Formats: sequence, structure tokens, C-alpha cells
Amino acid sequence: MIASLAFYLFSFVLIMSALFVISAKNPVHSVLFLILAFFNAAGLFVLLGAEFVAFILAIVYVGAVAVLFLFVVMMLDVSFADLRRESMQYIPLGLVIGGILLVEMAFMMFAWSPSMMAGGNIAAAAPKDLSNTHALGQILYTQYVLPFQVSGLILLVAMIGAIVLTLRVRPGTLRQKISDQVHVRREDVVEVRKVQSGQGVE
Amino acid sequence: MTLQIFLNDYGLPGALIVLQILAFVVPLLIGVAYLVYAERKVMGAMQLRQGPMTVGAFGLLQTFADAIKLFSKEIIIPSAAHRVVFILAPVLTMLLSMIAWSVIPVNEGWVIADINVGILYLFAISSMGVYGVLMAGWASNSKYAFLGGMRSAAQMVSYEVSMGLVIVCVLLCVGSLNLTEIVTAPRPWWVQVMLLPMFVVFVVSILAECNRAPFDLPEGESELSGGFLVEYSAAAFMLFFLAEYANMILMSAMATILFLGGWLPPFGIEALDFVPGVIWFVLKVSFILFVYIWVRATLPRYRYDQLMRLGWKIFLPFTLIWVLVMAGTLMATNSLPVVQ
Amino acid sequence: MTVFNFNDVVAIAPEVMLAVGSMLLMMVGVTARGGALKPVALLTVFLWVVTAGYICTHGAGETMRVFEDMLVLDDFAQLMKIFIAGGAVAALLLAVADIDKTVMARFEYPVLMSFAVLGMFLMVSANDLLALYVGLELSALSLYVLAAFDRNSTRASEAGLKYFVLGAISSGMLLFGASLIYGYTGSTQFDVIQATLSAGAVPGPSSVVVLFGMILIVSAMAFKISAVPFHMWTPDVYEGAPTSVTAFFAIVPKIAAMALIIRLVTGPFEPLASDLQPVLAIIAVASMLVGAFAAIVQTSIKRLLAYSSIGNMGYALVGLVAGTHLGLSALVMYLAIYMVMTVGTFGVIMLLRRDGMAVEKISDLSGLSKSRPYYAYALAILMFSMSGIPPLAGFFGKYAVFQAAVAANAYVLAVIGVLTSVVAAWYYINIIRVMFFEEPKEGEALGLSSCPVSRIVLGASLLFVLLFILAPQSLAVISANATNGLLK
Repeated sequence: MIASLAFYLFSFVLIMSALFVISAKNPVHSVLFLILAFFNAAGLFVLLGAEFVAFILAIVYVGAVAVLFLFVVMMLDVSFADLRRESMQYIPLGLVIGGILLVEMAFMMFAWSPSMMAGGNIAAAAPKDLSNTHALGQILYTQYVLPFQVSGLILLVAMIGAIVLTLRVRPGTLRQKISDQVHVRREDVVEVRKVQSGQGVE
Repeated sequence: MTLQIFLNDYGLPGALIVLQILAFVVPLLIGVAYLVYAERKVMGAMQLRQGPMTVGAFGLLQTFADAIKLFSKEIIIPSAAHRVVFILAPVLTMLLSMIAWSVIPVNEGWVIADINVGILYLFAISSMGVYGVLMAGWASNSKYAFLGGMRSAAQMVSYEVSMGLVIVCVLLCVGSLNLTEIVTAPRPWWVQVMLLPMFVVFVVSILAECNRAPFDLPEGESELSGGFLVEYSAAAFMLFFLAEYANMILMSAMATILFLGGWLPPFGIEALDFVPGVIWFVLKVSFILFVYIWVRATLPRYRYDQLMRLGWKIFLPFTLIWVLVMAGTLMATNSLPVVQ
Repeated sequence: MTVFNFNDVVAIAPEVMLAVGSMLLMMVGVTARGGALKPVALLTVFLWVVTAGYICTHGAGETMRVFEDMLVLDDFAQLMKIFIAGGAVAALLLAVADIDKTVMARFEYPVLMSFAVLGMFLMVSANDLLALYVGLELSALSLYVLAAFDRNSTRASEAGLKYFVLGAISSGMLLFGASLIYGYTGSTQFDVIQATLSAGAVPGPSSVVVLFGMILIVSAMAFKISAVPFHMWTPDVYEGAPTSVTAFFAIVPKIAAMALIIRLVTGPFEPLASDLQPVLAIIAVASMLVGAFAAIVQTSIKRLLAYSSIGNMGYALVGLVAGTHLGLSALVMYLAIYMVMTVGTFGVIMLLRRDGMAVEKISDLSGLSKSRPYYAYALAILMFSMSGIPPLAGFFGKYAVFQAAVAANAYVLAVIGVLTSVVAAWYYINIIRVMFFEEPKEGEALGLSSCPVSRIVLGASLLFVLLFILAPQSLAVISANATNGLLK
């Protein structure tokens, strides 16, 4: 009973917050609702017994991605009301496409059944006595090592791309050169003079 | 009859959970109060002054007096602020610093929820702490607060990366994400030695994660006049204040569990087994808390670019390499933990 | 429990070489500090040549499946990889001349290209929806960045953004389609999908779902080869992106995406090929029509070439619609010839300069026969070949495709193909008219890039186009061999 209560709670909040993400007037509120949605999705994963995925979702999306999202959105100086007005003209098209997708989904839910062979094809679930972190680790580095490694390359390319497109070397900026500072010797910067009183330093 | 069943199935366990939570939260809040007191006393001693003296014997009741004062004051909400987010921010921060305690084992079996992926839960909760600051900074609708929020976001995200890698190092030698198993898993002495640099990185990172000196840029009294806290007053301010110290204790507990052997006696000395585990736990946490205070009294605040440099250019490469080194060593010596 | 198998890594040595090599080149570039473009670019070319050489010498022989059947290594993949590597070498050699002095002179350029090539290698070898997706994304992400590489130019940034957004949508379609297929078959592995789909007639509603999934995946692929109606990005990206990048876009990714479509249609979707055939036919016809008619009004060379590539993909698809072994081998042959012709065309465009930049407008070429007669003749030959005039190479490609269509009784396709070829010939020959019969524009004549390598590449492609008639059978045999194993 608790589990199903939790399921309905998480699902309800998830759907509502997803709705608010696209309907909130203030973009910062949108991002905050997005975070709430991530959080509830993580809750649903926990209910499914996939706790590792749940917490990775929370750490990566809530803890890092959404923070940067929020960071950027807060700094933007764009009138979102104007943007919204402009995008309103595409609403009919959006509704058509969304409607088609919705119909497809509904169709699939009610009228479709997997192939007779699908049951045999689906990868076996993790063995009972294995925590799902261990189970994931075992297939990630064996069966799925190729997509796993290529995903790493994709992230590398994304990183290179971000740097290539945004890093600019501005002339004239002052930078702290730590090693120079550390390697300063006393003789370079301090000179001890014996000053006769009344004479001053020449 | 059904009521009886209901009470048996849900009422009793529910009450038990509430009691367990109280057993954690009440000592925690008292701990927070005396951490504040200890900070003032220790810093006083380091700066050759007395610290709080007048309220209660040796000023022991000073924090409570401050709390009562803050509670009885009026909460001022700036007219330009986003009211909901403004109030939500301190509440969220406080909430996060409390719920993290549900997975912390303070002694063998003394834990509310001994979940499989406890360390991930802790890491997730601690990485969410940034939202309180960010929301506060934005909702205040003030330049200083906003700058504080922005700084905090960048800072916490940066240091989380190396924190995550440090945790990976520990997990490599433990083979479990469960906090109790992390404490009890056997670790040879050379593994401990190899973890030592990671411990240092971790302690520095938790300073940044808690926005504590020398990384207290989000507050930055001297330049941002309080940063994200600038518009907060009374109870709302106090929530932030409490949460900051509760977070310090939480992070110290995390460091204790990951590196200092939790409730086990130090260095595995069996003669010390008679002391209850929880005492060791508290002592170890107190030690790290002392380091927090010590650092605050000693070091000046970092400049923002220096903070970023330390996080991205020193800690990140170092921890990355160290993960490889540790994994390689464990593999070469065949001492990787075996999955049961 | 499956255990990581080191033999699999040996089997994909070309991919491993590319991945490790690209990362090493990245490090070379970072540590060299400034002026690293030339050496890194040459090393990249060297890397690709070595990889291609390795693939050539280590023939696939029998078909191999590695990484838990994620990748398939067969003659087809081998040939496609050689095409891709060859096209990439040509594109990069052309680019070196163009990017030397601009903001684009940064060493990441060849490195990103190299990652794109790696992604395409994975695409043509993909034997699993997961491998397909990661390979596709690896190449696509590199291409998005390359499109916006000239970051000071608003047009390039716009092109990059447009390409990125539309590419992301196509990835979304691919994933949605993949999830539908997975939902029905319970597997992402091509052979299993094929076996499951051919096991028995798909029952009523489920067949719609499977068909939807298939069409979504094919649509995503059609986006990559810029076939109508997923072609909208092509002219804008071709025009906005720096010319050297456009050359790469026109030459290389098309091959990979087309290879992937071939693999999908002959592999997992083969049991339902009869349902898919009309869809492919519509795409082919629409592409041929749009490619022929929309190109007529273009004034920019790059836009013209964009529409030309749309049309050419339409012709290539005709071979696939035919669905026979003859059709597939004609398609492969067509791709190879198209690739060489594109290399030559971009070679001419990038060698000719107006005010130090590659030429952009068709009118820039006016009177070229007087100022730069050799280049005018070169471009004329290429344009004749593109429009399919015998005895040049382009003719044989089109002939093979239409012949295959006729052999498969797809008369309508063949007729439309021939008619649109005639229309397309009009605008190809229009360029020749501008070069030979219009007076040069006021101002100085077009300059020339001083890069000898580009000239060698151009010369090689011209030789291929001119001399193809001497041995047309050799390429046909190669393509036939490569596609042999695809149809069972």
C-alpha cells in the first residue's frame, strides 16, 4: 500500500511539475519545477528497485546539470514573454505533432502486444542476490563495453566542441602566474640599503 | 479490528521511525548549538580573547539565547523579492541538512535507513545544497545576494567533481556503496596510506561544499556584505545558519565514515574496544570540526579565480590520476574487493 | 556472465587506431601551442591513410560479429570504411589550403574530423541499435561543432545551431523508433530483430507500431543523407558553414548514412521490406524532384551543390528501392563516383579565391575560361560528369542505378530519374555557360590558392572521372562483391 501510495504521489507530482515547466511564466520557476520533476523521476526509479540509477539521476541531473541550467537562466536577460508570444504562432503545428505522438502512445498502450519471441529476446534481469549496482557494473564493462566507451568519446567530443566554440584568448588580460610568484627570490625584489640619516635614498 | 491491523502494520513502525528520527535530530540540533559555541570559543582562544562568557556558566547558553533572539524578531521580506522562493530557500537548505542523516551509521546498526547506495544518497543530498543558496540569491532580487548565489553555484559544482572522484577511490577499495560496509570493510594499511592524499582533498572540498572559510565566497562579508544572506533576517536567517553548521557536521561525519573508520576505535587498537562506538564517532567528527574552525581562524579568504584554479586545475587532475593509480595498484596486487 | 573478450578489440583495430590516434593528436595539438594545425592535419591524414591501409590489407573475408554482436565486420563495412577514409583524406587535404589563415586555423579541426570518421566507422559496422546510436551521435556531434567552427561568422554559427537543433530532433526520432522496435521484438540486436520480425506475420495493431518504428528510424537516416522531406537543413548548412567544412559534409557523412540505411533495410527490416519499399520510393522521387527543380534558381554555388547532393541521394536511393543485389551494388558504385566528383568540384571551388576567400557566387565564375582556363575546363568536365554525360564517370553511376531499377520493374522510378537528370543537367551546364560565355566581372580576376596538395587531389579526381571508362567493370565488381553478403 505504501509503495503504491508513493507511486501515485511521485507520478502526480512529476506530471504536475512537468506541466509547470512548460507553463510557468518565469523561466527560473520553470527550471525549479524541472528539478522537482527530476527528483520525482528518481523517486519512481527507487520504487522500481533501481536505486543506483535513481541516485545517479539525482546526482547528475539535479546536482550538476540543473544547477548549471539555473545558473544560465538566472543570468539571461531575455524577455521570455516576448519569446513566448513569438512562439505562439507555432502552437498549432506543435499541437498536431504532439497529438500524433499522444495517439501513438495511447494506441500502443491499449492495442499493441509484443512479439511472441520478445520474452526470450529480452535480456535476463539481474540475478536476485546481486545488488543492482553490481549487476550494472557487470554488464557495463562486458556486454556493453563498446557503447560505454563510445559514449565516453562522445562526451570528449562535446567537451572539445564546447572549448573550441567558446574559449577566446583575450589580449591584455592580466593573469596570475603562480609559479613566477613562487619562484621570486629575495634578491629580485628586496634590496637592503644603508641609508645615512638626513641623506635619503638616491 | 481493521484499525488494529492498520496500527500493527503501519502505526507501530511509523512511531518507531519517528522516534528514531527524533533520536538523531535532537542530538544533532544540540550539537549544532554547541558547534557554534565551540567555534566562538576556539577562535577566541586562537585570537587571545575569551569568546562568549556571560550567558550561563562559561557562556554555555549563548547559542540558545541567540536562537531565541532571532526567533522573536520580525522576518523582513524585501518588497522586490520573490516571496515563495525567498522563504523556500532556507527551508530547503535546512531540510536537506537534516534528511541526509537518515543514512549515517553512528555505530554498528545505529542507522535509520541502512540502504544499499547510502554514499550516493549522501552525495546527492550534499550536491543539492547548492539550490538553497542559489534560490536565496536569486529570490532576494539584490545584486550582492545574486552574486553570492552565482559564486556558490560555480563553486559547489566545481568541487563536487573532485569529491565524486575521491569517493570513487574509497569505493574501489571497499566494493560497496553501503555506508556500514564502507566502515567495516577491511583495509590494509597501505590502502589507508594511499587514501591519505584523497582525505586531504576531501577535507578541502568539504570546506568548499559548506561554503566555509577560506572558501566562503558566497557570503564574502567584506566584498558582498553577506552575499546570499544579505536580505535574510530573523528566523529565515537562523535556518540558514543552523543548516550551515548541520552541514558541517554532516560532511565531517561523511569524512569520518569514508576515511576515519566511523565508529571503530582508531588504528584498530583492540584495547580500546570497550569505549562505545558512538563515542569514537563523535570524537572523530569533532576532530574534523575542529579542523574547520582552525582553518577559519588561520587562513584568509581565497580569491574567486584561485578557488576555481584549485578546483579544476589541481584537484580534478590529481584525483583523476589518483583513481587510476589506486585502481591499478589494487588490480596489480590482486586486492580488489570481491563481489559476493 | 559474459566476459570481456580481447579478441574483439583486435578485430576492430581500425576503430581503435582511430580513437587512440585522435586522442593522441589532440594531445599533440594542445602541447604544441599555436601553429599546430599543419602538423596535426598532416598527421591526421597519415592516421586515416594507415587505417585505410590496414583495412585494405586485413580483408574481412568471412563476416565477423564482435562485442556481443554489437558490430558486424563484413566486406560491405570494409569497403564503406575505405570510402569514408578516402573521402575524409581528400576533404582534409582540400581543407588545409582553405583554413590556413582564417580564424579556423586551429588544430581541433582535423581532430574533430577524425572523431567524426570514427563515428561513421561505427555506423557502417553497427549491428545493434545501441551501437548505431552511439556511432551516429559521435559523428553528428563532431559535425555540429565543425559546422559552427568559424565562430566569428554569424552565418556559420547559425548553420551550426540549425544543424544541431534539427539533428537533435532526428536523433529523437531515431530513439523513439528504436524504442518501438525494441518494444515489439525485445531486442536491439539487428539479427534478433530480423529473426523476430520474420518469425511470423506481425499481428494487426502491432504491425502499425513496428512500421512506425521503422519509418521513424529511416526518417532519421534520411535526415542524415538529406533526403526530401528531411532536407531543409542542407542548403542553409552548406551555405553557412565554412567551405572546407561543407566539402567534408558533402563527401563523407552521406556515405556512412547511406551505408547504414542499406544495412537496416537489408538486415533487421528485411522481413518488412515490402512495407518499407513505397516509403523509400517516395523519398527517392521527392529527393530527385526537389534536387532538380529547386537548384535551378540558386545563385550561390554552395546552395546549388546542396540541392545537387539532395538530388544525387535520390538517385542513389533508386538503387535501394530496386531492392535487388544489382540495385545495391549500383548504389555503392554510384556513391563512390559521386564522392569523387564532389571532391573535384569542391577542389575547384576552394582553389579559386575572391579576395582571399573561396568563391561563393555562381556569378563569381563568369568568364573563368579566359582568366583561369585550366580550372574552367576542370570544372566543366566535372559538371558534365555530374549531369551524367557519357563517357564520363557520372554517366556510369546513373546508368547502373537506372538499369537496376528497370531490371526490378521499377519503371516509374527510372523514368522520373532520367527526366530529373535532364532538368539537373540544365543547371550544371548553366555553370559551364557562365564560365565560358559570360564576360568576366569588373575588378580583378579570381586568385588562386597556392596549395599544391589541393591541386593534386583535384587532378586525381579529374583523372578518375575521365579515365573511368577504361575500366568501368572494376568498380562494379568491387561493389558487387561488397554487397554480396547483404541479401540472403
